Amino acid sequence: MREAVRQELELKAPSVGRWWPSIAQGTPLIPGQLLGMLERAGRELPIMAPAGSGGVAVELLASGAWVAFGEVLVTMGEGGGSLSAPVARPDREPDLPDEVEPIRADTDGTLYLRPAPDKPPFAQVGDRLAPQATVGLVEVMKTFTPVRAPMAGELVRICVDDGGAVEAGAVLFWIRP
Amino acid sequence: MARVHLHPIGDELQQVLGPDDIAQNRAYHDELDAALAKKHQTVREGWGPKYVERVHAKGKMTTWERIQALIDPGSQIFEVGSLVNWGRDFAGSRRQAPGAGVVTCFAKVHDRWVVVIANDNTVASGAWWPQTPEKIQRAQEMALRLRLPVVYLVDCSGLFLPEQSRSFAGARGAGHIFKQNARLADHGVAQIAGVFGDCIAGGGYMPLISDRVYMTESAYMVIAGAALIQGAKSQKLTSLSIGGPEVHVHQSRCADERVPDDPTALRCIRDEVARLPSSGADFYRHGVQPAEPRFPATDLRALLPTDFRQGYAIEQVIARLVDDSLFHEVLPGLGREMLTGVARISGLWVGLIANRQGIVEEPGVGKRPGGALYREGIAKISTFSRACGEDGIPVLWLQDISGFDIGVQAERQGLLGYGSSLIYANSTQPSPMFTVLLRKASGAGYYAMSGLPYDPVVQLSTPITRQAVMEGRTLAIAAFNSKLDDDFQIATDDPQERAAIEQGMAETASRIEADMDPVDAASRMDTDQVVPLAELRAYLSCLIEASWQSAGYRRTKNPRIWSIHDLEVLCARR
Repeated sequence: MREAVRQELELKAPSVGRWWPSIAQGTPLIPGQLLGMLERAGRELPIMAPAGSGGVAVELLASGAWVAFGEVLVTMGEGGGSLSAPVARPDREPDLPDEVEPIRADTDGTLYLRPAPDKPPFAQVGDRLAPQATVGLVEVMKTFTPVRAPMAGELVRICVDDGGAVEAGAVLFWIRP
Repeated sequence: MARVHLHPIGDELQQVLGPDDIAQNRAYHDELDAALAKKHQTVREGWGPKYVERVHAKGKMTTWERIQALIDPGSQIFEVGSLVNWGRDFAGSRRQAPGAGVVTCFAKVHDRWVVVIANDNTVASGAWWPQTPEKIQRAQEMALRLRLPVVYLVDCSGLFLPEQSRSFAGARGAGHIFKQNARLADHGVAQIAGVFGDCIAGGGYMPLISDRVYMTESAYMVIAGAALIQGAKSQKLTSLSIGGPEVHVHQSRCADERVPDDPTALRCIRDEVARLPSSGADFYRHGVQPAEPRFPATDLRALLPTDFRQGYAIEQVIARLVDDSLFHEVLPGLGREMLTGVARISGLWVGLIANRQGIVEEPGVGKRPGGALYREGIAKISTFSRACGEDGIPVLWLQDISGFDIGVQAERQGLLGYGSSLIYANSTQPSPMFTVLLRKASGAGYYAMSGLPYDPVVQLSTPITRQAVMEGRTLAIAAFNSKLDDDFQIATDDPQERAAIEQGMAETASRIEADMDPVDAASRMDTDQVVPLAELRAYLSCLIEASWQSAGYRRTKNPRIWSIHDLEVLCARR
């Protein structure tokens, strides 16, 4: 079920304009990644991969194309295969229910699960999370970037230990919306 | 058509932050704001009720009562330097010198912004303390840069003599105030003085270059007071008989008008301001009305995290500072750790230059931490700063900067050169610049983004500003470098030596941490004013209105012919 939905994840133009992608077909995608610019009335709007993004860009509108509101800019799919061949997600955890959603790392770095060594953790398994609640911090070069829950839900799994190294795109948490 | 299209930016708070973050950040800023408000209140009280009574007993108004009578009813004033000398003790005085014994502020009189410089007559009869002359000169400089009329409310017993060696002889010693008087007059800036009481020596000279000088019946101006003359010449005199209005209005003609009391003098000064040209701000609004941001400025207390190492979205901050939360980003595609663009504040154009925080994706380069200066970003902000100068748009710098990128690549790319180009651009910037130190103001980044040494008209700090060459921990590592291994761990097996190094590093880090307190910075005049985040928008409205008030002294261009349009055409994709 979930694979099928993800298979058809489409990123639509939030505005009319001219599309200048900064990725190519087959580029692996992670949330927060710059996908391209939408030029409108002389201004360029950066288009970022939304939370929940993953896989690769299987289809991409051509550079310089004029787009209408809601037109599909990028189609995301698993592993770069065709849309008709569902591929299991490599980071899917079989013991978790189908409706869980991943919270991924935007960048390589070190994950911290508490605001400071002497403070309690941001969240624990079983906690109800509000939308945009901070669940961790990823540190890279002394810059701490909050990891936030993309939607309301229950925190069902923490995949990395406090202070553990993470890679961009890795699943850090699972949340049940 | 070469027109700027403004676009909505920002989101509702709840779409950006979870409720816990919002509550936690608000609580943190509430505490800081309350501590700051208490300090401002202490300064405002001067030396307290006893001295207020003394002033009233002489039939005079206190300085704050005078300011209230001077300004448009219900209007807000914006102080500069209110924490100068905060926490400093002086030999020869049991009391401190709140606000350095002088109030300097932007105030509205007959709908014109003026700079008010008013001796605090509840603090040592308005004497000049160490840093008082510098504070007065700084306010005069702001007036000069923006060509704003200056109103002096003079009530000054001269230098605070036990400390005279620290405020007399240097390049910015007390006498430089009169040079500033002369420079203002030379540039055609109107100066109006009210003389209200003891104006001895410097206090006597300060009003003299003003275009209009009003004296009340309790005022006198003298080169030397009666006590000094008695000492030097063994003559018995009263100060009023030496230099009162009878002498200076009617005989010496050093003052223009004699008025019975404080309220009359203040009414006359208001009338004088009304005779000056009205503000050009409404003309330069080009038919657009001022508008509040769609998202309230009070949100800033929730948006900025409690931990200075944590990122936030600068777009959300700008959305709470600019009219209607509308913004036009210029050169968005590169140097993305920097955000440049134009917006309106109080209906008037302003260019904004700000640091993005957190991890930023640079096309063709990859991800890197924001809050730092890299080659593309430096080139972008130099270009944008020059364009604003070319187009006559005031520039607002929003600093939250750790410094320049460092390392082999930075040197090979020649960041020293790119940084110097930026410094040249800012040092020769013909448009007024204002700098807000939102949070970090570190290293050469503080300089390059128009920190105070680069002469912004005004530099504001917030309660979470941290001005320093580097953070405490970094400095401790640099200072103890020879004792550390490659992983910055203490390289010794001797427990005693280890403990000594640990203690030394901790002390260094905590001393640097304490020095970064924005209140201390304001006390040293390393920043002009500490402003609570929620009051930033109102303060900036005052500054931007003030920078569009006087016509004819600086370049202004209508938005159709901005050079920014050329930039956008040249940088657009094809």
